[in-house]
Amino acid sequence: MTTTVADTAKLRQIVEVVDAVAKLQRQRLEREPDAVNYQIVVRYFNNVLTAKEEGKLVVAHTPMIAPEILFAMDIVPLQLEFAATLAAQIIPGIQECFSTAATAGLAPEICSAQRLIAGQAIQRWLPRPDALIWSNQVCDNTAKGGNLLAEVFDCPSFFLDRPYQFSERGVHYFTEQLKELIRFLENLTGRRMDWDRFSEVMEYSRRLQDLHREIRELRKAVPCPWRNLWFIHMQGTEMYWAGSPEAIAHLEAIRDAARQKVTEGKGYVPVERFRILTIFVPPTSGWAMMGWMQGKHGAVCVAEPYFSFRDGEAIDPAKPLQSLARKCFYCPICGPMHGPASEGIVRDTVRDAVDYKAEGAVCFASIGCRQTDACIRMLKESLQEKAGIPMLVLDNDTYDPTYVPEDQLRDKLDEFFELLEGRK
Amino acid sequence: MYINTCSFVRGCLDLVLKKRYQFLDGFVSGSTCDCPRRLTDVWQHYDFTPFVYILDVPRKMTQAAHALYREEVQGLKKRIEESFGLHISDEALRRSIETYNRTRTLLKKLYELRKSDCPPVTGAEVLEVLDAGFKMPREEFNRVLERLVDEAGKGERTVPARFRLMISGSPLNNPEFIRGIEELGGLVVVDELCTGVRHWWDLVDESPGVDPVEALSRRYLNNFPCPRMYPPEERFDRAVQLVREYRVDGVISEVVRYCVHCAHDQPLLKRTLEGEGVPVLELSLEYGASGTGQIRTRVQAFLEMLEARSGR
Repeated sequence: MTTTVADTAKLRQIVEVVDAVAKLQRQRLEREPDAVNYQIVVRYFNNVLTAKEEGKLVVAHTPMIAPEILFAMDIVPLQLEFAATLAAQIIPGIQECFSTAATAGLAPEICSAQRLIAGQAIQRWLPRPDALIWSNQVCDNTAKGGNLLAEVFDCPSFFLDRPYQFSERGVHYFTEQLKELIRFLENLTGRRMDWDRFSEVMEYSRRLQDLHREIRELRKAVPCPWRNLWFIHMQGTEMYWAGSPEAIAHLEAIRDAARQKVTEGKGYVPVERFRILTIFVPPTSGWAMMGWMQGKHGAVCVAEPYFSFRDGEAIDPAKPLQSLARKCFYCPICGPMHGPASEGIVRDTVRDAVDYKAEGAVCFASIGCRQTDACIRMLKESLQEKAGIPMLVLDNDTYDPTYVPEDQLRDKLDEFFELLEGRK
Repeated sequence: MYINTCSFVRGCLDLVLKKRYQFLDGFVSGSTCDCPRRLTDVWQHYDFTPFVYILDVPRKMTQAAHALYREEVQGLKKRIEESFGLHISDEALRRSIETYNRTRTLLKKLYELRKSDCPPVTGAEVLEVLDAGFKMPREEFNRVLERLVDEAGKGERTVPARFRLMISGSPLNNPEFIRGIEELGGLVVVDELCTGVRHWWDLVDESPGVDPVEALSRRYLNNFPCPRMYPPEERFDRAVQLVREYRVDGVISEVVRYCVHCAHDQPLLKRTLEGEGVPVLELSLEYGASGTGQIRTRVQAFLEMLEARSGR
């Protein structure tokens, strides 16, 4: 068993910057949810930094590997895309990472998230984990990216195979896959899974799901009590902290802030002018654009169909493994992206448009995301025909800011809001 | 579809939109990769055919994966029977398996002939044959293929090979692409393509007493691995085996743009092959492309490099 951490300098740099941001947010009462978010980000990476001295293993994983199993086994997770996102925002040198990935043979059509993670791994931006887990949740890039990473990290690895569509036989297969993953981790740690602890973790996961749905309900209010950036924070928390008290604390902070506004009959912005559906994620270099939309245009993002716990069952903590397997078929991103569109993203987007009284939709079409982009026309036409609202498509690259300058994105948004104004 | 949908799948959609598939009653797809999955969504959304079905294909080749895939194939059979008012008997399945295995056996014979120093067919011609197999009624194709194998086996025609090449990668159906390579002096003696050996190589078990659905699902999951399968070494090992058996001098690896599975495998496969002492030329292209000027230049340079290496 090894807990070698090769290089922690960049991780420490991330922690310092995020910690400073958390302290700044703490000084502003209305930013309590943001402060909690940044605090738990700091805690997440501090856990990685201190794992070795605490005798814990660090397991790196790709998005949508449910961290609940890792928490239940007292393993420190390191979600690579999340780490890559923050590193790219804080540490200069993102283009060098892309160049490194290209030198390693990764073609430009491979999604920039995977190229960035590979580049960062090769350049040792992140500590070498004790093991790597990856999965076909949610796309071919996540399914294939792990092969090279396992080689670069030179550590034990496990590939988790999730069937594409929900069916009882698919759930059964995936449950067996999770059991295999647990056996892999048991061998790695030399410890057996503590099933009582797993149930406790799944209880946190259940509460997180309930909070998510509660927050979604609050967002139906007119005006909407929502700060646009919260959705990015929230989906991050749900991906990398699911099954922990930290995640509950963050979503409770958001819920409380939103509920207060609703009780007062106020929106997050003084004048709500447009209610917008957000489809997929804005580029990481342009998160500030979400606040700009709200500040300049009074445009509030009322729902994000790709990032919603919409349908699906309640988690039963008494059956942690089965519940977790089922959750992976309907949870945010996993359900709508890695599943058929007609009973998934297209249906949900139209429903959200109606339920949330959306007046327009903004689709962030990342050039690396073949699954999202292939749905654009279906979404656009369905929203127009069934909800009577237009959809703006913003071509971009989620991680590479040189693909489309942010100014261009803002110009297009300006024009779109003019159009929406004209429709009023 | 969007620009980042691979051109093979966009090509399929193009044919639908041009009403070239008016004769179809249904569409069946496997959940093989992002693009065909979304093509299935589009197909269903725009109601191109009354019957649309997608079956899950696991990425692993384990017993559990096989059990799932078997149920998926059984589910497809049931849905076809219900939707079209048919009964697919075991006997009919066995006859069909026999017919398709006949194709595989004949193709294996044709490919065996390509192992000789001077094969009787070019790579472009073989791709034409494979293309015909996708379009013709299978029994008729088998008859023609049988004649071709007989004639080729007589040794009356030989094609000199300056360099023996393998072509590897994404779907390829354009013989002109290979012809362009062969005009420059390389001879494609084997392939490792979605539309080549990965499509037809392994037989379905015809043993008496074996359930045909079981046999079919086992074969299609455990076949010569597609780049989507895990672990990738299964594919790489078989590619290396082909390189050795066909005494390949160099590999041309073509990746259709946005064929992400192949793109991810590419650097690992290249390293594996180069470890075997076989140089690899990587080409990124659109599906259906023939040898453009740029590709010809690169192939020419590759062949010159092979020449220098061999000291010929």
